[in-house]
Amino acid sequence: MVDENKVFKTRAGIPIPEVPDRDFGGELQTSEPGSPPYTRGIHKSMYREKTWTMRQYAGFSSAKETNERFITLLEKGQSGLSVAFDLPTQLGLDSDDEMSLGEVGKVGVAIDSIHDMRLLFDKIDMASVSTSMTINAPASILFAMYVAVAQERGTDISSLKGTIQNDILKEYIARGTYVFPPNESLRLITDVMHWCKENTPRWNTISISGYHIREAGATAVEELAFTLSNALAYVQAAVDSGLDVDEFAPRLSFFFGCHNDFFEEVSKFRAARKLWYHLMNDRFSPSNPKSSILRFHTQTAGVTLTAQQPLNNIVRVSYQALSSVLGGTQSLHTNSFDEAIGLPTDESSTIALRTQQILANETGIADVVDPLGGSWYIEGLTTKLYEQSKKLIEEIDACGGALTAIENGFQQRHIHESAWAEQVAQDKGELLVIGVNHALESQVESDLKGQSLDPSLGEAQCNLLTSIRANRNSEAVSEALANVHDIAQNGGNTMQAILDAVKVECTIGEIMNALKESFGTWMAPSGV
Amino acid sequence: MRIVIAKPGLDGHDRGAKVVARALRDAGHEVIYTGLRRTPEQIVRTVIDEDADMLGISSLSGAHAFLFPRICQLLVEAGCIDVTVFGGGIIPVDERPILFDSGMRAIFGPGTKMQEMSEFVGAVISRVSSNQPVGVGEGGDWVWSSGE
Amino acid sequence: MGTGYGLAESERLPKTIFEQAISGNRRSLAKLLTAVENGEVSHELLGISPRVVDGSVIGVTGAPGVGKSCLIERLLSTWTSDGLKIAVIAVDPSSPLTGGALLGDRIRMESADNNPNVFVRSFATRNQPGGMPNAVVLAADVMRHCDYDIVLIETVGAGQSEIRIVSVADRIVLVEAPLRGDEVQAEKAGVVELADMIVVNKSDLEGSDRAAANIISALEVTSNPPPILLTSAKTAVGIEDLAVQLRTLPAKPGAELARARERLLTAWDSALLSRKDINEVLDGLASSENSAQEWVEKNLRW
Repeated sequence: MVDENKVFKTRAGIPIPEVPDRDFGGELQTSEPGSPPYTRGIHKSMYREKTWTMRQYAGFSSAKETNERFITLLEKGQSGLSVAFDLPTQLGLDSDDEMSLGEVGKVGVAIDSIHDMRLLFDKIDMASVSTSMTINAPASILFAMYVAVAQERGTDISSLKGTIQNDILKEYIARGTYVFPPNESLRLITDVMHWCKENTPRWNTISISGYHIREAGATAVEELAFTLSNALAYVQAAVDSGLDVDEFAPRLSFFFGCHNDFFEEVSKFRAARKLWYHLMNDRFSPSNPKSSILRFHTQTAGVTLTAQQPLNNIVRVSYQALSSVLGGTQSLHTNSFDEAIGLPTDESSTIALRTQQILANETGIADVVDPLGGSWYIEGLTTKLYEQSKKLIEEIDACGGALTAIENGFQQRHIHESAWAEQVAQDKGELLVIGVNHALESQVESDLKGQSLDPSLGEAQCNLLTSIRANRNSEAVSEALANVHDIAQNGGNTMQAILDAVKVECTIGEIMNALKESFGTWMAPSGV
Repeated sequence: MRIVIAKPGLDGHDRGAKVVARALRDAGHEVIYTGLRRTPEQIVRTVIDEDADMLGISSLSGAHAFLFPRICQLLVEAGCIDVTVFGGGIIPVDERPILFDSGMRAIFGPGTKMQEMSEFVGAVISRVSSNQPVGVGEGGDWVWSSGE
Repeated sequence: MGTGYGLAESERLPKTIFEQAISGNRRSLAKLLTAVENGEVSHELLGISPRVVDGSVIGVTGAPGVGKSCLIERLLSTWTSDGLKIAVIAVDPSSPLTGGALLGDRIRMESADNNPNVFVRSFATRNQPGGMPNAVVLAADVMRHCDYDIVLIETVGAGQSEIRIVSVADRIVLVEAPLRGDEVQAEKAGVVELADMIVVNKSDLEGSDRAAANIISALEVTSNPPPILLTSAKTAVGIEDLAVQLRTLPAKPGAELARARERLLTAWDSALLSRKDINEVLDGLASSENSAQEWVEKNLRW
């Protein structure tokens, strides 16, 4: 018997018909994959041409150890690198900064200077590998170190390919690793865009991220709306800085999460492509078709992982990964099952990669393009997510755009409300989570242990830093830092100044301080 | 109760901290939320100036092993022995005893019901009123276990 | 252990704590403020007389989002670098349903946790008509006795109770921001007439000139409009000027009257609600034997 009182709706609150029909699905999608508005995918043959990039985010403790993990991952068949930096690096602090105490090498690798970057890419062919770096506030500094190392090795930097996240707006909204005020942050981003256009044309200068927005509690609609409205703000900033939209828009890439509501997630990716196509064409009229194509990376939702009965997470990750592939992702990170407990181990991260390999090679889903297209349910959800997200973007426009809305805490409040609603639903048992409020086992917490790190790392990293500072040309350092400050203060391209600074062994903290003196710092409203 | 909810260290994941702050407010408490990236010294100063009865600290970055005991130590040094300290975030089970040894009274992992948080605060209140040790520097071996 | 103030019995006497607070002990000041907030101490108990109005206690009010806390942070760093000690009482509303409160104003005041010459304390309104403004008066007096040269009282200028609270200050500054020009008219009856100065913050934003012009023209209909200053907490423009002006800001005659009226109402509420027979009165009114109007006519008219 169907419970008459139960209201069936998606995680974003869209009512679910018992049997979807034309009324729900509307007109069926007639466009082809590879053609505007790209609802069905950005390539005509999708994974028949090339399977998605399996890109596992990795990095811990020292550059040397992370380098070893990278080499192992490449040997195991991973097709791209994704660097996780520790929090001091993400905030542009040296490892020996007082604020860094206890954090060095914890959630990623510690990079203080070009020395660490050399070690990180030791024996890795920078001309062929595609490297993604989760770095935002100090994105230009880390990218400069990467470029400098490539140049030292004689690599033609115009061949470098990869992505820096460089998406500061979602840091204010959801992730917290911001430093400078919004306008100054946008300037750093557009400086990188200008520099890359001339020097590293294959590099993706920004990865506009909904993942962290979703993790902070947003619904699928909010994830889409906030991410794409941030993207519009970046495009506007770039255009305002003198770039032609076709000079940078083809290099924009996106990053979404994939959560538990299977069909809603598939539809979300389809809606995202369609929405971006229309937004770009309506507002910026690009001439290059690639400027309005939404390419994206996906990561399975970390927030859905439970500390209870952790092996269940392998199943969750598999379904989530499936939804992103059916949604047409360009690259994918699958989470390790033990991430709610601690840092992933070798074993758990291998299973995560194997999950993708099974999906790509055993299930047959890579052989067909948008197989759910034409389903009334999927088409109906795609349309509804498209419309609701569009409406929310228009609300943000009415607030004065993404940036002003952030300054007023609009997105932060929205996300907090959604996070709260989810907590309440879970506490009431309206939302079931296996092992947490349903199908419990007597042993409440797993005795599984996370990866343990060498506690002496922080000290070793600080000692290294001391010796670097003692042995470099201090005159060149002061000169380079003064130049960074001068360019930040009086105009010019900060990226070039930063590249000159990393080459004379300025540390990340020193360069950040030069920028802070000019730009100041900022605290975003928390939304509570 | 006056309760400070703080995010020590550099971790920017404050979804849980904000949800807990709200749940405690709804349970009738006065909650002071510090915002991101507070040092142990700053957190202790907030606790002192706001005359808080309890302090909740959250970290998901793995820095708890250093930061949490440091905060407890500074509280005790400042004479705030009666402040009850609890924590949340991703804290592996085998790393908890050392946090309890430093004076913390509860660790809440992912999936904790907000109801349990209120029950914990209730237990603290009843221990205070019956003069049983519950503060960070008051000793004793009482720590919260769910279902109490 | 786990009792009262967490201090030894002999130290728990308010006067002793007060002396420790005066000698610079932050924790004692904090404990004393808790007692003040709970209505456990009075001027008499502490052996002090109510402070003479001298302009050193300044209310800062304005709608959410106008940047009050950032502005206060700027003032804190300006004044403390001039060698002053500053205390802030940040007032946030309590939930009328649960009595709980979320106090988040510290977040945007970096000096609150770093600067030794700053003391920030969050107060929840606790839905006590009458009680809260009295607590704020005593708290401000205590802070002034503890060598804080200026006390700022920050409230959200939204509700009647917040207006009452800010009315206890010697001077009141109303903070506005661009995009809010239209709303000034609506607020006029409330806090605008109390203000000794109006600050239009976020002057870095486009349209701030127009907003200021709107506000000025809205106020021209009132006699004796308060001075208006443009600031940007973001770029620090106008902050020095504001910091200087606030130290010698004269009271606006009309504002003094409006404030006196709010204070009188506060005292009135407080006197009324602390009547010994208040519960019987309320019971009577609730069972609608009499209307409130009739009761007032009969018992309180003179």
